[in-house]
Amino acid sequence: MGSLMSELMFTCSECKKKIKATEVMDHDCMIAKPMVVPDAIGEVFGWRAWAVHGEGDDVRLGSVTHSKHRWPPRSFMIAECAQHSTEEIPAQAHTCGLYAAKTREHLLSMTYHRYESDENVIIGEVAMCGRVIPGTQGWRAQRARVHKLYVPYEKWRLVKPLSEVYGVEVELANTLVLPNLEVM
Amino acid sequence: MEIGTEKPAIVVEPAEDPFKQDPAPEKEPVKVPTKEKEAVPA
Repeated sequence: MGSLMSELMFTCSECKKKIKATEVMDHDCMIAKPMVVPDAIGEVFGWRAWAVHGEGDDVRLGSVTHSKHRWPPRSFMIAECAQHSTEEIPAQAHTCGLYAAKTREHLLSMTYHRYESDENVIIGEVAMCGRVIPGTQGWRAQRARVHKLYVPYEKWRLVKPLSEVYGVEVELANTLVLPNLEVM
Repeated sequence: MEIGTEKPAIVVEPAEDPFKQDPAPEKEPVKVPTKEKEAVPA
């Protein structure tokens, strides 16, 4: 049995190095990145506003407050911080992480959704995971993905490219007010 | 963004990859019609 174990070989998913079974526990990559057991299985859902950049296949969602950040299509947006590693974000005593409001009502109260006629600002739902800090009114997360988008009626031309590029449901809506306050 | 009073961090992981695409259904092999063999007179 002992000799069989010593003959087994594994490939490290990080560095691709071949390791003997007896060396796995001492391998540098395994020591540097301990396994994190999740507290919950699933995703946390919240509300955000985005600025829309580009057209057609090049359409991208960007932060309304940080102009250089773009949300990647069909994958997770991963938070970055100059002071913390990805595994440490969102840090407890810092402001880093991807933010989302718990409710559409709270998002609208913060006015990120407002826009001028020449601006393409939309709102939507995000699904967050990884390390997440719950707040009484929102979330701060390590990773987030676009779940559903709401585009103002007059910006209807954005629906098709956003739907095709991000692969999510895109709905036309009055994004300036809550759904139950829309004038029919 | 104002998210109110913060609580200690938790770790949440999806049960499966949300970007995983279902594999395309396997196509049935195309049946090529074959000519019926002509009856050979005995």
